[in-house]
Amino acid sequence: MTTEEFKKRVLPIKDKLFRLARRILNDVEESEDVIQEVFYRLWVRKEELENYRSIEAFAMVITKNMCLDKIKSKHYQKAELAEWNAPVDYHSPQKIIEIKEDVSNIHRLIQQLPELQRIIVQMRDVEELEFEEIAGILQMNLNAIRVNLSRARKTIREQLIKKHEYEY
Amino acid sequence: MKKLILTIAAIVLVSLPFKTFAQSPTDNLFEKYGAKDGFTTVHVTKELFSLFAEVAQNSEDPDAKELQDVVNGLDYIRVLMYDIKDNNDEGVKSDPAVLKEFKEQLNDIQLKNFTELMTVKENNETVKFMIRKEGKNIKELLLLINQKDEAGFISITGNINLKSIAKLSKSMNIKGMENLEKIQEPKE
Amino acid sequence: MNIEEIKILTEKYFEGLTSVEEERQLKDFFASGDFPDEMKSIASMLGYFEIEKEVTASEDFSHKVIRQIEGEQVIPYYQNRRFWFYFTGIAASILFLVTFFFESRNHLPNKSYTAKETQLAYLQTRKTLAFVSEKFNKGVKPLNEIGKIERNTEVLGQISKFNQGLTQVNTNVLKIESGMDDISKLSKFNIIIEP
Repeated sequence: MTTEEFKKRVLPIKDKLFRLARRILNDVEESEDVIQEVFYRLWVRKEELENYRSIEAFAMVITKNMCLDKIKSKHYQKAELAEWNAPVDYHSPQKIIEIKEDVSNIHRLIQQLPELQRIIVQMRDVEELEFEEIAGILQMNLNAIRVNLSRARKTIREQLIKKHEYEY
Repeated sequence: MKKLILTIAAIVLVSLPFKTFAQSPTDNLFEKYGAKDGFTTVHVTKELFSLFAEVAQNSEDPDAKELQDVVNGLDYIRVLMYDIKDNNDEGVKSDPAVLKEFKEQLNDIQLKNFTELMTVKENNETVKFMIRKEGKNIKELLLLINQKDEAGFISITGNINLKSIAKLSKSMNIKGMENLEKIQEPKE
Repeated sequence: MNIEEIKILTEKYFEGLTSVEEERQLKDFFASGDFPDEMKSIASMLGYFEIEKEVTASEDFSHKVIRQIEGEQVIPYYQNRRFWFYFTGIAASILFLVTFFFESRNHLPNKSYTAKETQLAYLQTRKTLAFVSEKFNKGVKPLNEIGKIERNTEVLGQISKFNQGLTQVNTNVLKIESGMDDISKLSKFNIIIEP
């Protein structure tokens, strides 16, 4: 693969990878470090990249592994749960303040899920990947993925309902 | 090592005499740039707010009541802006390098306790609304302002009522205010 | 899609049994804002996912990655970054300590304000709050009212106009001679304009 091809085909997935890293590590700077490294590795291997069925899947595997390694390594300090800022203007008929609070809560709730569930939620609910793709990346069977996904979604819902009850 | 420094800092903080002082993450910036050439500043405190009632009474300002509603319960309002277009007649040179540095500093403001309320973008101008809440109350409203040739912030602290702030411009006679500022000083 | 079908899909969703297309349908349905209160939780969840989808790495970072590829600059690994992180953290802590120390010494006791200062503060406050209020209202305007911008609000809406006005206030008021006359002078100004 040439440099131009790399820029055209591989570079665009950087945001997806960034989002995944951020989901796992909960820290923007650490995530950028990881993605930098991931791209370095992809770049160094650019000739072989043609052989992969899905470069994106391959890159996600590298990203996921690097992030999980980072978490396990001794140098890693548990990142404080970063405040969530809506990256886009979110228009809605409802009062903006209410929506922001709810959605901000959801971010916190998701980040409190175990890593595996977080990763699956990210891949399915945010990135909209098919189960087969997720299974390939995580090397898990389809049912295991479905079960984890269901568990995660239900947990978020329960916590949200609890929060609403508490407030009203 | 970092932990050690922070621990020392914490101990020193606790042992210093308790003082109420401005507590916004913009304070450092304000002190650093407030006195510099070319920066427009505003710093109005609680004591001044309480004097407004008198000004309002004597001025027949129709919006005085709305203003008073907003201003009651505020601790202070601070504004710091920098503009590289030559906008004053004192011949002060504005420096793009200063603007660049200032913008970087604005970006670095520690917004740990803030949530972004919304961002209003219009023709290359961005105004970001951030709020800091304590429980259900909004204790600080921070506007981060960014435009090609200008940048700055507006910080309002105290008990903030967004509803009454919103009401202000709806009833305010903005045109009237423009004329107010155009008035030349009356000759004695 | 009617609400009954949506409820069925929602149950499927929580079992992890929906397809990507069905999830898209749910997302679109809730994005309209038209749903019963009891479905607020799932609406917020799906809204959150939609927002998260738009997250991108910062521009600076994107440029960094491109530069790395173009061979101009191989960015050193994160060990270096961590060093700077700690270093600036320590420097910041020391600076904070020093500033705090001086800050708490510099505080003046309650002072009284001259009429000029009060007037200046009043005008500044008025102008600033007007700007904040306008911008705020622009931001929360409901979608269906876009296009109905009132001309009046254009007057201060721009940042540069606001800043210019503020500077003007600062300059003008300072030119007014000080003295007890100031407050009464304010009343002579023709503030009310609208016919």
